[in-house]
Amino acid sequence: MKKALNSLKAIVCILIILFSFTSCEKAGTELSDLMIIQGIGIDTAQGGYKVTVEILNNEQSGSPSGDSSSENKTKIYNAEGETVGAALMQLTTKSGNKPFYAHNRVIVIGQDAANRKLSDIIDYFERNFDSRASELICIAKNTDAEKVIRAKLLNDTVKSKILEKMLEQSYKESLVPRMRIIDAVNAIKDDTSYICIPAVTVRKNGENEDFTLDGCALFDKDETFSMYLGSGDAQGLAYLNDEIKKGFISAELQNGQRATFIINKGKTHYKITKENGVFHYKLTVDVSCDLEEVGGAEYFSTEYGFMEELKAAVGKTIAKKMENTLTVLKSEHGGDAVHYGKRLMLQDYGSYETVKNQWDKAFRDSKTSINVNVTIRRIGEETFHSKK
Amino acid sequence: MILKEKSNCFLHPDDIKSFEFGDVRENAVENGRLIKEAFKGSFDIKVKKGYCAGKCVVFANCDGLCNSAKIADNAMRPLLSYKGELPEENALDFMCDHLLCSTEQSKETDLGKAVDMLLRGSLLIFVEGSKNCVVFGVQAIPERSITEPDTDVQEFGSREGFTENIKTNLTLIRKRLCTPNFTIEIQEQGKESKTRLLLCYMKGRVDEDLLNAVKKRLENLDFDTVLGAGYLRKTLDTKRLSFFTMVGQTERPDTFAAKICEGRIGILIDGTPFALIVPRLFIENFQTLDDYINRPYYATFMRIVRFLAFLISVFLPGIFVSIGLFHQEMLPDDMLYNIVVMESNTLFTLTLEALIIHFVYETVREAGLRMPKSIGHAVSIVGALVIGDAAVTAGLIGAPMLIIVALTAICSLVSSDLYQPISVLRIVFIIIGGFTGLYGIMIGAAALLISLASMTDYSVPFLSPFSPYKKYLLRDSLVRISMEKLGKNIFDINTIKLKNKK
Amino acid sequence: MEKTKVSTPQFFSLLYLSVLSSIFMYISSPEITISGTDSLLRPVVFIAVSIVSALPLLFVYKKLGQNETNYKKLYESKFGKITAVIYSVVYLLGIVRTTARFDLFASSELFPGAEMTLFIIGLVAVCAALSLLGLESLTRAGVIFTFIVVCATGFVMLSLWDEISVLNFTPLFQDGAGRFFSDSILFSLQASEIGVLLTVLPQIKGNLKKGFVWWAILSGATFIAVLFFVVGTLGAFADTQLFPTYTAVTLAKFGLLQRMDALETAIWILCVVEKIALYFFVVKKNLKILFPKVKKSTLCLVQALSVCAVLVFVSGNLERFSFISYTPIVVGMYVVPVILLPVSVLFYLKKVKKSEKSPQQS
Repeated sequence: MKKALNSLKAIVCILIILFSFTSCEKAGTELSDLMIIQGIGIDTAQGGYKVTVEILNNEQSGSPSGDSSSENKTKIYNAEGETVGAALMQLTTKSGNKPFYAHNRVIVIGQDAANRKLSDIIDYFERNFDSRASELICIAKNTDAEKVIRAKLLNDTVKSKILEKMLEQSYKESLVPRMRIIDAVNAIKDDTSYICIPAVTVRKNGENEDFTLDGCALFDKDETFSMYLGSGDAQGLAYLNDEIKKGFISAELQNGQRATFIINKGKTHYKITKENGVFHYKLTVDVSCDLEEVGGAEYFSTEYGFMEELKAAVGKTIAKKMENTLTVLKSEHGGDAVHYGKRLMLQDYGSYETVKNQWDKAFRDSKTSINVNVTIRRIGEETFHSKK
Repeated sequence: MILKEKSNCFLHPDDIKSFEFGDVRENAVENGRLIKEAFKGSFDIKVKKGYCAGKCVVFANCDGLCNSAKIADNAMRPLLSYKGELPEENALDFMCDHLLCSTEQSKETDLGKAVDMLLRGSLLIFVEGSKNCVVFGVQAIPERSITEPDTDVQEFGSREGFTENIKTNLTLIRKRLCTPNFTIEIQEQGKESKTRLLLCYMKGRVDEDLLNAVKKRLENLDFDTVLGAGYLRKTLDTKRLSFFTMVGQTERPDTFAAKICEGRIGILIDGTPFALIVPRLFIENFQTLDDYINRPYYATFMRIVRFLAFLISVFLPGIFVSIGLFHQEMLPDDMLYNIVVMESNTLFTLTLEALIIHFVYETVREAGLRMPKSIGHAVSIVGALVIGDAAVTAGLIGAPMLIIVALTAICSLVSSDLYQPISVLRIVFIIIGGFTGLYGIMIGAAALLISLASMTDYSVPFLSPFSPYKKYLLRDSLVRISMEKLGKNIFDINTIKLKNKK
Repeated sequence: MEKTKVSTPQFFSLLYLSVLSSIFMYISSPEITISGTDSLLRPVVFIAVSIVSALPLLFVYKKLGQNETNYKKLYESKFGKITAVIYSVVYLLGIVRTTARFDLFASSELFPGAEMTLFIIGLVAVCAALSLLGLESLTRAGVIFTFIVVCATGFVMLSLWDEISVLNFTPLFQDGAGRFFSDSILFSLQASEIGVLLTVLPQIKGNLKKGFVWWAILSGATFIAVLFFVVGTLGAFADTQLFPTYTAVTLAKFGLLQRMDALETAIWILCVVEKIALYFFVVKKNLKILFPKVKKSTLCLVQALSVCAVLVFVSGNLERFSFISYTPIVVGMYVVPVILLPVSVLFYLKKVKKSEKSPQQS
C-alpha cells in the first residue's frame, strides 16, 4: 500500500513538474511583454480595417509617478488587416509585445467603419478572452477614429481614459446612453430595437484639441449607420429608456426666467395598451430633484404655489424632451431606440408576435402619452435666510 | 576520536553500557572501587571513605551535579562526627533515621540504579555490612533562571517560561494547578541519555483512549538519546509527511496548564524548555493566552488578523506571481501600469525573482538565527541594504516584489508555530503559481486543505471545529465570545473527539 | 486515518459542490439556451426530478439501512459485482466528462490558446491522489469549500446587482411549455452525482432523506440565484457565450478589483476538484468490490491512467468533446446509476427475500 501510494505521489510530482515546465509556461506573459491597450480606434482601409491603438508606454525609465519624465505616457500604433481581429493581431509585429485587451477602455468606431456592419466590428471583442464585455463603444462623428485616438489634448494623459470618463459620466448624468459590447450584442439580437451609440467629436481649442460628446449615432436593425441624434434628443433617450441616473435639467418658469435642477433619481413606468390596432404607451416618469438656481428671483419661498410652479416647469421640460426625441425617432431614418418593442414583448407577447415583423411601422404608428411626477427635495439653503 | 581521547577523564557512554554493577556489596570499599573502576577514574566522580562510630562508610558523588556544602553539612558531618554507638544490625537504617538530614533520601539495593542516581546528582552512601546504599538528594544541577520565553511571547501573560530543569518546570505547573487531579507519570526515554519525561494530565478530564494511545506510542520509542522535544514529535504524530503537526509545543507554563485543563496530555522533557501538548488543533495556531485576557472583540479581531496573516504569508507571493504572469486583468490599470514600469527594468522573470528574493530572505534569517549575536547588526545592515536597496537599484528585482516579500515575511512571523510549513508552502505556491496561475494555486490549496482534513490523530480531527462542524466550539475559534458565555473548558478534548468510531 | 462515518450535512455539502460545478461550467448550446427567463424556472423542475428519480435509491436505503454488512452481502453476490462494473464504467465516464468540460473551459477562458492536456492530466492525478484520503477527508474539506464557494459566488453575484436590466428578461414559456419541460429535464439530468449514493450509503450517518431533500432544494435555489444574475445581466448575450456564467462574472467589479473572473473561477476549481475526487473514490470503491485483493492505491493509479488515456484523446478536440456530451450519453449517465441500478437492486433484494423465505416454508 505504502509503496504504491509513494509511487502515485511520485507520478503526481512528475506530472506537476512536467506540465509546469511545458505547456502552461507558454500561457504566462511577463509584465514587460504586455502591450496594455487603453483605447482602440477602428477605421476602414483598402480591403479591410485599420486599427489605431493607444497603449501605455511601459518602457518609461524611472518612476512612473510624476510628470517629470520627458517620455509620453502612451504610445500610438496603427495596423491594417482584412478584419478587425487580423488588424489587431498585426500589432504584435509593430511593437513586439503581446496585445492585452483586458484594460481597454473604449472602442472608437470611425464614421466610415460605422457605415459597415456593426457585428463585423465587435465580433472580435465579443469572442476575445481578454476583452471585457463591458468595454464602451463610441462613434467618431463625421471623422476617423484615428483622429480621436491621436487627438492632441492639453496634457500628456491617457486619452482613452478621458474619453471613458466622459462617456461614463455623461451616462450617469443622463446625457447620452451607454453602449457596451454586451449592450450592442443584445440590441443586435433584439428583433425590434435600433442601436444608439454615443458620438464623439474632436474640436480645436487653440493649439490643442478637446473631445466633445455630441449626441449619439443611430444604427438600424441591419446594424448599419442610420442617423445622428443631437444632444437634446440623446437626453430624452434616458427618460424614455428608464435610464435616469443623476444629471441636471433646466426649465423655464412662467415669468420667463429659467431654473436649474439637479436630478437625484428617476424612474419611468410603462403601461402598454392596444387601441384600434395601435399601441398606446403610457409613460409615467417619477423624478426627484433639487433646485440649484433660479434666474432673476428676488424672493425665495417654499410656498405651495411657487413649488407647484417649479414642479410644473420641470415636468413640462422633461415631457418636451421625451416628445422631441420620439418625434426624431419616428422620422424617416429613425427607429425604435427606446425598446418599445422589447417592452411590448415582456408585457404582451401575443401582440408582439403579430407585429414583430412590421415593427418599424407599428412603432411609428404607436402613441405615447407622458406624465411626469416631480418631487422637489430641496430648494437651496438661501430659502431660510434671505427674506426681503 | 575526541571522545575516545577524553575517556581518560570523562565518562564515555559505551563504558557504562558494558559495565555490569550487580547488587550493592556488603563491603563498602568494594562498592567505591567498583564505581571508580566503572568510570575509569573520571575526575568528577568522587569516592571518599570515612568512619562513623567505627564503621566504614563510603561516599560517592559526581562533582558539579551536587551541592558540596549540603554534602558536608547534611551527610558527612553528622555521620563522621557521630560519637555514639551504632546498632549491630540495621546500622544504615539508624543513620537514615537519626543522623542524615534530607527530605530526599531513599535506599537502593541495585548498584546500577544507584549509579544512575549518582549521575543525576545524588550522593551515594555505602555502609560496611549493609546490602543497601542510601541515595541522598543533594542535587545542584546548574540551571538557567526562569525568564520570559523567547519563542512564545505574550503581552499580558505571565513572564515565566520553562527552563531546562524538569523539576523547575514541574514546579511552575504545580503552582498553577493546585489540585490532586493533576497527575504526573514519569518515564525514561533514550537508551543512553535516559532522559526523564513527565506525562502530565488532569485525571477525570483526560480521555483514557488518548492517554493509552500516547503511552503506547511512547513505549515504542527507540532512541539512543532524547535531547529535545522534536525527538518525540514524529512518534506522537501519525501523518509524518504532512506539513502540519498535531503535536503542540510551548515554552509557557500557563499555556501548558491551560491545555492540561482542557483534557490534553502534556509532556515535559528533561533538558529542554519546550514541552509538548497532544493533541493540537489547527485553530490553536491562531489562539494565544492573551486572547482570554483581552476584550472579546479585540481577541476576535486579532485572531482574524493572525489567520489572514497566515493566508497572506502562504499565498500572497504565489498569487502575485500568478496575477503578474497570467491574470493581469485583475489589477486596476493604474496599478498594473506602475507595476509594469517597475518590473520592466528587472533582469529575471517574475517567478525567478520571487524565488531568489525568498531564498535571500530565508538565508538572511537563518544567518541571523545562527550567527554570534555580536555580529548580528552587521548582517542586518547588509541584508537590508542588499535586499532593500541595491537589488532594486541594480535591476535584479522589482520594488513591488520587494514589498510583497516584506509583507509576507512579517506575516509569516505572526504565528511562530506555523513558520516552518509557511516558509516551504510559500515556495511551493510560488512555483505552482508561476507555471499554472491562480488555477494551479487553487488546485494546490484544495489538495492542501483536503490533506489537512484527513488529519485525525487520537480520534481528534485537526480542522475541528470547522470541519467536522461543531457549532458549540465556534464560540472560541476565530471568534471569541465573552468569558461568561464561553462556558467551562470549551475546548475540552472530549467535546472535539469523534464519537462514532467504526 | 481512523475511519468514521460522515454526517449527512457533510456528505451533501460535497454533493452540493459537485452539482454547483455543473452550473458554473454550464455550456450553452442551441438545444438548451440560458438567456430566457424560462431558465430561472428550470431549477424547480430540477428539484422535482431529483427527488422523484432518487426514490428508488431511497427505497434501497430503507431496505438496507446503514448497516454495512447488508451492503457487503449485496456486493459479494454476482449481481452486486455486475452493478459495481456498471457503476465503475458510468463514473469513469463521469470523470472523463467533467475533466473534458473543464479542459474546454480552461482552454477557452482560463488559458486561451494554451495546450491544456498536461494541466488536466495534473488535475486528474491530484484528484486521484486525494481520493485515496477517503470520503471523510473529502467531505470535511467539502464543508469548508462550500462556505468559500457560496461566499465568493454570493459576493460576485451581488456585485452584479447594478448590471441587471429588466429588458434582459423574456416572457415566460416563450418557446412553449413543452420545450420548457424538455429543456428543464435535460438540465436536471446534469446532476448524475446523485447516483454515487448507492456506493457510499453505508458510510453515511444521519437522516438521509431529509438531507437529500435539503440538498435538492438548496441546489435548486442556488441555480435560481445564479441563473437570475446570468439572465439579468447578460440577456441574449448569454447565448453567444460558450460559458455564460463565466461571462456574467467577468462583468463584476468591486473597488480595486477590476475583474473578478479569475478569482471566482479559481474558487470554482474547488468544486471541480471535489467532484472528480468523489468520482474517483466511488469508482475505486466499486473496483475494490471486483478486485478485493488489489491495493486501493493501485486501483486509483489504474483509474487515473485510464482516464488520462481517454482525456488525451478527447482534449483539444471539440468534436470528440461533443460526442461525450451527446444527449443520449448524458441521459444514460443519469438514468443508469440513479434509476435503473437502484431499481434492479430492489428487484434483486425482493428475489433474495423470496428465496430465503421459500426454503423455510418448505
